[in-house]
Amino acid sequence: MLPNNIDYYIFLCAVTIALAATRNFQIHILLISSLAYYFITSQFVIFPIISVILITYYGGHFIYITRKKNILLGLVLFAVIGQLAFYKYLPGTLLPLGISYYSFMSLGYAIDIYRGKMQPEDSLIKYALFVSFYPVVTSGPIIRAQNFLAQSNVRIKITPSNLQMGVTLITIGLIMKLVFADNLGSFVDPVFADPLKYHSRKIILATIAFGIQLYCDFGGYSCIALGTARIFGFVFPMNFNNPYFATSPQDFWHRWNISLSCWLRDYLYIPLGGNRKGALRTHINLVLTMIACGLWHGATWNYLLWGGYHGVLLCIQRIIHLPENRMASLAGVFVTQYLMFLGWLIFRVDDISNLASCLSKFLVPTAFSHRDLLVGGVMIFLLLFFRDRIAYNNWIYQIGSSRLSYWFAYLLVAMNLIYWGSPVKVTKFIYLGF
Amino acid sequence: MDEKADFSDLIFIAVAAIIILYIIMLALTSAVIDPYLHATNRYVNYFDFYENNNKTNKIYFIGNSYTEYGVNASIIEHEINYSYNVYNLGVGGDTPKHRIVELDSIVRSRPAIVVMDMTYGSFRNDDQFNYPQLESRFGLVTDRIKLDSITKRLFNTTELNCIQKNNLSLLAYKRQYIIPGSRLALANLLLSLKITNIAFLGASMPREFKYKSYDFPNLVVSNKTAEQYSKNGHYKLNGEDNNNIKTFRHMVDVLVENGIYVIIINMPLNPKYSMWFTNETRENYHRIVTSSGCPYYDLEGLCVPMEFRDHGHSNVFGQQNITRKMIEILKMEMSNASKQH
Repeated sequence: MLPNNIDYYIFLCAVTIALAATRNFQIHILLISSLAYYFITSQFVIFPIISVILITYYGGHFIYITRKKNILLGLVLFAVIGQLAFYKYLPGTLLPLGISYYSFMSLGYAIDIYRGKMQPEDSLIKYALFVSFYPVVTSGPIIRAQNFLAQSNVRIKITPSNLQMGVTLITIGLIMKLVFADNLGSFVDPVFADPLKYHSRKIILATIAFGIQLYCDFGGYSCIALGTARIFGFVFPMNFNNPYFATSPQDFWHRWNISLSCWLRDYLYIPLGGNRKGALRTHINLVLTMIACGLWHGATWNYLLWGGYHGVLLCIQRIIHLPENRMASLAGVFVTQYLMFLGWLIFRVDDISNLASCLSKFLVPTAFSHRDLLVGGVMIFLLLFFRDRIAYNNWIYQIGSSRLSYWFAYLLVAMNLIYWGSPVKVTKFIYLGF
Repeated sequence: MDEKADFSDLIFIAVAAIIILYIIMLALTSAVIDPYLHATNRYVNYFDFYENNNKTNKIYFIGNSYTEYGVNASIIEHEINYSYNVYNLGVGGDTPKHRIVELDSIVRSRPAIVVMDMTYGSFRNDDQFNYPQLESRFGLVTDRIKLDSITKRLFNTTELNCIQKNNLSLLAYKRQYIIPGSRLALANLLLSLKITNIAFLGASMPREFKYKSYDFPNLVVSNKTAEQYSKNGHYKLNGEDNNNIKTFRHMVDVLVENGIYVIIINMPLNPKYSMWFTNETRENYHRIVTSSGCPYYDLEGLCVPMEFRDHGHSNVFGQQNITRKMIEILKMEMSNASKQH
């Protein structure tokens, strides 16, 4: 029952009607529907999420009242990260759905209590809903406990404005996933299934296509998740902010999978010392944090390499002080995206013998015709020229809050695009596997 | 946002958008996609053929790619003085379990004779059925397929879902043809307006199902192909009934019950491939094909290696030999067939 199936939307309608029809027990309805959704979608593997809920809920309470907070927090971290590592890195184990996401969410809750930033939630029901909230449980975004629990204290109202914005986000997410990501996948997958038989031009185009596919797949899912939550009245921040217009590696991580990068900054980078312990220690902390980011995606060496690569880029950026003017900014976009897509090549190719060949083909482009260079140059020029207008225009909000006549036109175009533009064979979400 | 908007406005908009989308779906499917499929899609053409061919005295050759390459229906027609209309309905990868989906349509089209060209691979145990292949062959014609209760039991749920889509699923399945369909529609429009004089692919001529076009006679036979096929274990028959065997028996029963004369032929194989089949497999195979009671001809050793492109697909010389033999068989059987018919 994933967001690219009709069942998801039938379920959404049922839950929305149930919430709109009741004043009391709304949290209970949401919790039951979230657990039912997880139970069905995860193929009945529900023990891991239940254990995380109970460990962090009671762990949070004990951390709050005890003087030996360090020990309690250590035990909670060990239990949750241990379970995550067991399922993620032990060969032969089935990875429970969404474990990477809800583990981080619940760890954030425990750490915030430890730091005194929040008090433990009294209601187990509300806390269980926070961890298992079905729009975000399978593939994020990683929401913060304070944000969610504060909103869950208010009566859930299904309002027309939230409904309009939610449906807008959902349709945009479906266009990104079904129309762009799935169609690009049919070009990308055969190339990376056997990359050695393709020349440089194909590898470069497939890498670019993969970068766009990944953004549309994950960004699309995030939009659907945020749209679903918005229908219920929960407002969460966007998880992506035009990452391919970033001017530097650091700017990229402020725009890509924002919830994860912020979580790593707040709960790993800063506790390690952040940038407060001198330049060398800062660089080490950056590399370690990004390696952890890579390992979060999976236990294979290419994710480790990808994380380390981004850590090194962030270190280099700190060393090189870039001028702040428009030309430097545009040049920065071009260079940053080149480096980011190089990183996606490492991310995508999981066979080390293939990676060396692919990297050489990416770094030394051949077989491009004059027409390719002309078309590519024009596209890059246009993107850079209109960068500001695209990057800083909150067009999703504009559509979601537009007049009904305009919104009707948008909805008609979006639905036709989704229907006619999506391939017959539906593919699963890429980030579902992390 | 308009301050006066409320739930009723949003619901009205959503319902209106869905209705308009549905109208567009129906309109584009019937005006653009269906004509394209009828003009170009092979499997749609098979069912069009069954439904629209009103000729009498028809002979159908059904089988897999060995039949496609091996039988020249035009020459057969000529050699039997056009007393029958002969059609080569071979499909690559065909098995009884594929063909039985068309059985109702075959019976309704009332052929006089059906020549069932069998090979060892026809009875392979494919309970792990190839769903994409099944869907690509029958996915577009699910509204024209009728399965009897015996046939339905031979398929699992996933296979039945591929064969029997509901109308909405079929509509959604067809949408992938919107771009080529639009291209054809545009090309035909330009042609009709005499803007261009190039005839595009897909003019509305029905397929003739006479002969399969092929490239060149291949006189070099690869032993490796024969060995490879023999080692994969697909074509070992151990005497147990599988769904293909049950389907074959049911097909023959239905055809005969409907007054259709059935001839069963064991198609020629490349001797370099044929030698790999065990005696047990050969015995079990012959037991199956002869148990139907229909006239049976064993042509396995008819052709020499030089008449094949590979393990079983004939080249132009092989096709001549096989077609000549088919003519001989038909001349012997036509009088029996006319008595039955």
